[in-house]
Amino acid sequence: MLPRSITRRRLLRAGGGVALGAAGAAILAACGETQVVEVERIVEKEVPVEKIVEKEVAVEKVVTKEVVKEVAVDRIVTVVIEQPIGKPRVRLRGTGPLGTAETGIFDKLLSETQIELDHVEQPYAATYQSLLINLSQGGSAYDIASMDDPWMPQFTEFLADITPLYQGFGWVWPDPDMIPAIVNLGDWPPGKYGPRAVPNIGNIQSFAYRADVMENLGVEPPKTWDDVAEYSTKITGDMAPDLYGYTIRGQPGNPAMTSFLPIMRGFGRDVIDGDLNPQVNTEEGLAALDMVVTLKNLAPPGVENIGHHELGKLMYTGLAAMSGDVWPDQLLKMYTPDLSSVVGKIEVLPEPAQPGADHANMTGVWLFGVPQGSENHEAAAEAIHWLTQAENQKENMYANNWPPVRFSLMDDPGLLADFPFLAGIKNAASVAVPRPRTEHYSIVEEIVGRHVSAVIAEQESVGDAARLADEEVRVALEEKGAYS
Amino acid sequence: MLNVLRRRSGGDVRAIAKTPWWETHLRFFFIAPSMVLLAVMAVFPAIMSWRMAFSRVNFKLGELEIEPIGFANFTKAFSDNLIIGSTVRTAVWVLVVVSAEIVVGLFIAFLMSKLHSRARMLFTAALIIPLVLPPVSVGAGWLVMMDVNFGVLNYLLSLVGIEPLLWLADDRTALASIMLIDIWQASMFVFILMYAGILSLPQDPYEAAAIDGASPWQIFRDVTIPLLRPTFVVVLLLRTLDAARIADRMLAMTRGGPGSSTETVTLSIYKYAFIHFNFGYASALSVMFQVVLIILATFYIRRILRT
Repeated sequence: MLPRSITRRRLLRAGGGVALGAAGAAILAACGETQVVEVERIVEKEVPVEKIVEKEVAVEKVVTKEVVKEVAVDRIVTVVIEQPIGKPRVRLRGTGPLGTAETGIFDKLLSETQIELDHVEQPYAATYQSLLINLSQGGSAYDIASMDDPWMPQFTEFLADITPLYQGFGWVWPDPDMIPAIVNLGDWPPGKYGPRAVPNIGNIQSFAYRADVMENLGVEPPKTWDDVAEYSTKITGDMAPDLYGYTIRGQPGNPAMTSFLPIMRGFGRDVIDGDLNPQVNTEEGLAALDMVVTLKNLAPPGVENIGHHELGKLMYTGLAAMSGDVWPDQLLKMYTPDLSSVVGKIEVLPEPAQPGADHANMTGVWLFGVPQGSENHEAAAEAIHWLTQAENQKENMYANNWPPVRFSLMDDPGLLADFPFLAGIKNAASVAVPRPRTEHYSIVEEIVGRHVSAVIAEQESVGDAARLADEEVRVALEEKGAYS
Repeated sequence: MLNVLRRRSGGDVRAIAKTPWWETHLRFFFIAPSMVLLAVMAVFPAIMSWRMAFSRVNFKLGELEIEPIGFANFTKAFSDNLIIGSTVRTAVWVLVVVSAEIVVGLFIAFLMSKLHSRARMLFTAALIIPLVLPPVSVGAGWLVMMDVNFGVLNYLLSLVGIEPLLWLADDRTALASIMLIDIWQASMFVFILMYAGILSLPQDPYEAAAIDGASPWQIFRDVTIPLLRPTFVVVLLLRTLDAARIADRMLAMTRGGPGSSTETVTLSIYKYAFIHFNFGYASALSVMFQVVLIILATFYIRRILRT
């Protein structure tokens, strides 16, 4: 018998039937899938003698039966008889230092905890934007947010409290081995919401200088910004174009502001005060901007448009002798023989400060938080806890150059031998100050950073830049209701 | 129900079936997904954008707080020095890059049309390369080449005894340097359209001009250019709209600096939206920018329809 001809209607019906069938099969398959696995792991933990626990734990609609048998006073063996396929997949949104992450550590996380970490990398600004939108709207797209510390005032109310999450596992928070100044960055306003984030990367800005150049000059390392200007004048005057005294970032916004803030603080004032009043157009602010102009004139040509990577390059190629805007990833390059012409010549110090002012190295610490909208709070907390353990932080230092946040690692002889600058970072951490703690900091940074850039590019005079920066900051913060 | 009549090849007409309603309206089912997508991805955001333009927008946990404030966001723009500067800069940008790209694109297209077909293929393939590169990658590449201390451009200049240029680091040359990159890349787009236009021109006017003894320049000026007018208008429309929206290149290369010397309207809007998180003001700026572009586009489209 000949096959019937295929009409359009018949084709559509057949296609619809196939699609419905496929969808039904997929739904059925998704409903009941479990896998029986037997896993034996040894957990070191003190438990009462002769204790047998049998409990049922619901994990994503699938019942997990866990039997715990005591075999020794200080060791228990956990036999998981039945469990769903893997734990919930945890999505981490990361950037900055995370952007270059080697994923080996995530493979280890999977093998040791059965938590699969889906790592989303984005540039700094894009991460901030998407996190703010996602977290503020209670979205569940991410289970772990990796955040720069200035973002914390904006994000804390959108994050879950770390303490009960950790307590659920029997872990202590805050961890006494972590540097308290860094741990406190995750709690804003202090005590209001409770700790909302766990520090992971001890990124601290530091003042780096060429020890050999100072030795040739016959001077002690600079302690004040006046020292820096004086030594830079000598260096640039004697050695340019082969070596310049100082380097600074001139790109508007975050780069220029990050170079400017330690100078302004070194003159004894912050860019905004505790009541969010702008402070650039003050005696100290104007002096700091004058210092920026002085240092810019002693810097290699082109600093008007350089950012983080270019500044690091000026240091590790030996073109600049000092900078107060150096971060651990740049230090690593300065200590890498394949890249650097200054290996072993760079020393790290707290930021200079004028007499009477405090040294103020800026924190750029990265913290992990669990968004309130996440549907996997426990797994996220477990992953964060695992990633911030000493052993894994040490591994991260080797794999990703993520500086640790633990005292025990800052003093670790092995790490210090491999990363000599860690001692300097520890000193810098001891005087580190976060950027102004307000949810409006990004606005302040963008406005002041634009005017500092204009001063560096000689587009605006120091007086005009200071006045305009303060005026614009005040207007922008008023619109945000910051003064009401 | 309708009876569908189908005329067979033999000429007889017969009713073949009663057509169910869903088949008579099948076209709507096919269009529906794209219409829904369009509504979700374009119409809804546009409505939200207009609504936000007249409001103060605050982020609260799980909600957007939208408080109507009338025209305040619009009036603010007229006293915002950053926006006034960005607008002037964007206008200069559009004027310079679009003009230069048309001249360069047309010149290359004209030269190519004179080449042997094999050479044409080879050169066309080579010339298209800049066009397929993402603007951010292009920006990153040129940023390295224009580095004052380590860039290849200053090195090449030094070989011929020219002092290093500050390129992106000088507020007097930064915008011009980015223009140069845009012209290098987007001229190839103009070239493609112009080249297609030239190849499709009728040959009769050329033969007539040759018989009349016209010189090559006269033929180009009095025959080619007038015949290419429709192509010119299309190129102008597309390039003007695209050039006016420039932001990514600046973001990748200068962040709008030094100072604000390379900040364009869309970059300012981006900063107000995603750094200041002032969605109300950013939406008002977007709406005004949209209106200007729609007026420009309407003007060009009317020209196209006339030609």
